[in-house]
Amino acid sequence: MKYRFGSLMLAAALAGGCIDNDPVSPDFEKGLFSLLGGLEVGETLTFTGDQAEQFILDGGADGAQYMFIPFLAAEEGALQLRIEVSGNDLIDVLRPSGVQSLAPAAEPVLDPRSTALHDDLRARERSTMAGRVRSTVRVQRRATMDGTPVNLQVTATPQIGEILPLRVINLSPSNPDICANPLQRSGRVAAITENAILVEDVANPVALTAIVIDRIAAEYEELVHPVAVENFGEPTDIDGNGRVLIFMTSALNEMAMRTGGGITVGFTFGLDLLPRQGPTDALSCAASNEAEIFYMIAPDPQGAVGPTVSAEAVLHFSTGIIAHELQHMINTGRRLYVTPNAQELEDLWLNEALSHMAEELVFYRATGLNPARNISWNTIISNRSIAEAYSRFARDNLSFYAEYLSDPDGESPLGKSLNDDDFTTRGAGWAFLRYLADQGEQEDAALFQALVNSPVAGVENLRQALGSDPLQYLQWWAVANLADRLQSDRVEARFTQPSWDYASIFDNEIGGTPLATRTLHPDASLTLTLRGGSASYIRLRAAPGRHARLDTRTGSAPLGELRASVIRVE
Amino acid sequence: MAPWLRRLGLNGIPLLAAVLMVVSPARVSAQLPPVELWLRPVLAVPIGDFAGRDEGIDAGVGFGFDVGGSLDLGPAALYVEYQHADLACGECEEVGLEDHALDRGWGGGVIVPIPYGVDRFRPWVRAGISGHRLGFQSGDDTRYSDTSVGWAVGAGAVTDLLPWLGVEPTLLVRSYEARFEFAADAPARETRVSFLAAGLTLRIRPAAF
Repeated sequence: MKYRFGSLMLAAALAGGCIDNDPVSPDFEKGLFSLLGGLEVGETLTFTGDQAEQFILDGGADGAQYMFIPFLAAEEGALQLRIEVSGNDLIDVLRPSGVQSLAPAAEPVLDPRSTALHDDLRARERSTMAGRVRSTVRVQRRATMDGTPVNLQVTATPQIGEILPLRVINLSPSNPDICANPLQRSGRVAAITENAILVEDVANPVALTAIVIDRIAAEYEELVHPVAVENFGEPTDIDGNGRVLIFMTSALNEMAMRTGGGITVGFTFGLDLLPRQGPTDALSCAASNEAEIFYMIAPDPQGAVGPTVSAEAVLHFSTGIIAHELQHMINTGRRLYVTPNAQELEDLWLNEALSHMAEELVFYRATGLNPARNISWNTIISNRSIAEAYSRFARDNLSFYAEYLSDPDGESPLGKSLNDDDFTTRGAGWAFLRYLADQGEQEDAALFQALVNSPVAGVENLRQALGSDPLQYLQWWAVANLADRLQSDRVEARFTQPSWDYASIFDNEIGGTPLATRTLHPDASLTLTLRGGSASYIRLRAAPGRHARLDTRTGSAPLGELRASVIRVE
Repeated sequence: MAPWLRRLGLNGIPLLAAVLMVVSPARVSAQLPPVELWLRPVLAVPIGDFAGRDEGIDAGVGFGFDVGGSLDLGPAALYVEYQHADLACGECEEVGLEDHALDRGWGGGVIVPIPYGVDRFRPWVRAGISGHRLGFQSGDDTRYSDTSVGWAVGAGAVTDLLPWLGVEPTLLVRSYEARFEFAADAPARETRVSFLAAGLTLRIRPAAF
């Protein structure tokens, strides 16, 4: 009998002591998490769908400050979602605003704050090429089934001093078809390297000195070309001369004087890769040079034909711009003639992000520094050559990124429209691409190669290259924009940006973090509009000894989904 | 006489004699049975951070029970015990949970008699380890922490009512770190569970039947 009694007791106790946890509701877990102390400083919670609409936040003993980061998971920046955020058991936040105004660049070389010209150029390029790309791809692919290089024309390598007839697109408002009525210019061959031909427009107000020409040519060979080939692929060679043309032309200076303003210091034009006379009008572009060619602004120290541009300025920005434009050229050329099944040009935002990445990659090559090394302000000023390379190849990227951070919920890395490639979009796109490269398991170059040599574009291109949801990365990056600056070892690796110590650089460049935040006050609600692919940053403080409840009400977003993160900041 | 006693062939006189013999103090102290079983209702009183809001859950007084047994090895006894308590939770309703927390698990260790007792009153102390879980409820959902190893100490004093039955006031202290993993990407969280368990233990010595 005693054994039976003991057995029964043992069985009862075992039954009570060995418990399997059945899944519980997400609300249950949120409440329990908060009950047990919630987030520590630097920790983040992320939620999607309905779960993104409510958070419970522990106030701790002294009150706890959080940043609530709603994010619209949509594949187009043009999509918008209106949300209303409210909470209870909140108190006034400490340091309510993190917004810093951006100081102008310390040493502006050219400060093209208006991108009107460039935007117009890209928009017209895109609209003009849209109908031509698919047909061109089909025709050219038939012509290259045997795998031989694509040559629209085979031109002999010119000689130094030779005059080349070149065309420049006519952006006059009276010329709606940019393939028509090109400007006829003449260029003198100033330098020939293994992979480039430097040509000066004979109409330029002043000629570049031999020192400047030699340096531009040398940097193309030492920095630009190897970086581009390694990370993006070989440029096409439709003119069969084995080189790209770098055309320094005052035509760009003159364009800056047109109505609408804006200046572009250099560009490449996809239509130059089309034949002047194709099988049909749709496959032709009379303005094409049928060559891989960049157009660069010319020195004009007196402002004779446009804004004042010194030779030093041209030397300062030319290599970075050429690297930038070479990515565009490779991207477009390979989609037209190399990549199987390519049906479209890259989306503007990602194309620009890749080109700004090209500039950054040149910075690494020029300095010997590497990504994922948290480059700080002290590193930058540690010697003159790094400081100069930073100024020439990296500073614009960080400056544009800072501009995005100053208006994160009004802007988007995906652009506000298909034709949006303003500085904020570029800065955000570059920083996001840098984040992806740093966070991904593949080598940086493998990621960039996959993106450039892809038959698809935009978010879908990222999805295929990453093998996972890019919007998930975009939400994490939105958190990283804040979390990377927190001095806490509890910040997860996925919320860090390991290549650049942005905090130290922004502190020294613009006097602090440019991240614009909003504040949720006690007993008040906050209404704002999120853009697809972007986030807002809302400060709030949970009352001491309380569990604050944060609620988000949304309108409808049929093509997107509200996601949200919350990070404890103090 | 009870039918089951009659079936055993016992009659009233020898049974009475036997009872008188076994309840005599001298016999009790001389013939401790090797195995004892017990049931202990307890009043649970949270202590330390567990009782506070900052680090704990604002836990409050609750009730529970322990069931266990021991094996006497001479100078000491080994015990094993199942322990269960239901404590108040001051913060739980604020976060949408029911206003109580469940503590349950196993304990085991050593009971050492204190050789200064008087007849019929035998004090002891004990120390051991536990494997416990802390749980919370909301509607049909219940969520327990991972089982974690803690410690427990206590003291009591047995008063024998019958050779096979004793009672003892008992005071125990239990403590462990309850760790919760979350299905979402939230980091795991821990809270130190500590409470006093004061109870009146009913001891049974099966060998004395």
